[in-house]
Amino acid sequence: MTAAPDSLAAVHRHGTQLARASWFAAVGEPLTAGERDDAAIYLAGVAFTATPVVGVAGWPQASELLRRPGWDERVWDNEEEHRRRLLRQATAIHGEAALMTALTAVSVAASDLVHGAAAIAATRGGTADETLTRVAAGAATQACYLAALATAARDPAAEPPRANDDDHPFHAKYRLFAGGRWPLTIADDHFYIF
Amino acid sequence: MTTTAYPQVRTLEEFQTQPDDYKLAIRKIVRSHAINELYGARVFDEPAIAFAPTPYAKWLTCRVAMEEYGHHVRFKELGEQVGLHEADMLPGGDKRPLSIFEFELKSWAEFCVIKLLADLAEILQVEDLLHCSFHPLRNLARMTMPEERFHAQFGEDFSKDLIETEAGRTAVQDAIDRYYPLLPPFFGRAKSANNAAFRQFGIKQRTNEAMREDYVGRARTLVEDQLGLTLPIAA
Repeated sequence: MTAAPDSLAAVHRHGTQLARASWFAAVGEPLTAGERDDAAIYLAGVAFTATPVVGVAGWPQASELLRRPGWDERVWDNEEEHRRRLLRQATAIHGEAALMTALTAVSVAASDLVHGAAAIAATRGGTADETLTRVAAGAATQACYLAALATAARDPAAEPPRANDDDHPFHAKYRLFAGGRWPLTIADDHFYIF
Repeated sequence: MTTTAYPQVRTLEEFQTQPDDYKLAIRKIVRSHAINELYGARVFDEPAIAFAPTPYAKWLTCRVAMEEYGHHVRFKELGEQVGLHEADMLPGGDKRPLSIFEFELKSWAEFCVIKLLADLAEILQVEDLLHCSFHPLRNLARMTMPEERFHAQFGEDFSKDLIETEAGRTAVQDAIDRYYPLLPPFFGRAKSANNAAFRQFGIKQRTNEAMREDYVGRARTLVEDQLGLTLPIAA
């Protein structure tokens, strides 16, 4: 095991910054150019390059899309492949116990924070669906975990330092969440963002 | 229901002045919850994410896993406050997780049934702590109860979705047939000395036998009246 305090410190910083994110504050708004850029980074990373990005207007539409059986499961499988690879890399750098402690701290910090934010956003959007707000919270918490894992897997000793660490699809997805969005699903050859 | 004259223990400072048997009883309950909440999240909730059929179900399962894990964290924090060591509240030590976790999860239908039936059992256990004489534990039970109810509702809702098809109905009934027999023993032995101590100290309210009987009745209503399926006879 190689000690790598810098990248775990970055994971801890990630956890402390969660409260400053705009969880679900921009759902339903028109997508900006920067958000489309992050969507493109994410799509390229999960092998769905050139998939058109579509904005979703409201909570009922979001719920319907998420329940749709014809979604493209390959996106989940590809994320899982990234996750397993990152987990192996990060475990080799930090050791299992230290890594799990750091990632758990991020997930626990995110969990209650994003649930409250989703409930407020859903109420503002005219929805009082307790289950859907939990789905939203689950999605955002998972995005926090995955972004923290991608951060933990960075090798601080790598030469030269990688310039494109923020181009990891999990970081791009996290930025969409942190900017108030909810990337929903890929279905019918389109990437739907709420 | 058994009533108790044991005085209310409102704070951790008051806890420190209680008899050793009271402290031991509280530690046993807190330790059991801390271990089993974590173990359940590891062996059922986290693996179930892969079986969930839609993004909606996957992320809801993620949320359920986080809530169960959060329960572990809260019980562990309370455990440390009442004198338990962190290592004693993690699986792998001398206290084995409950036998209901020995079921090998292999499908989404099985997970839905586990939420339906095991979380109902958990609700009964937490209900019994809602009037606990030790207020920090009582308050923790009251905090976790809405989430436990939601998890059982999750199981009921997704089981209802599944039984809309013949194949799903068969899968849910099969999971009930194989999983339900593990649950009545979850409430502990009849005439349990531990349970007698819990009731003597006003920590729990009911005997293991009374809780088991209540559970079987509620499970039967849920499975037979709500879902139109059959609850097997457990030994």
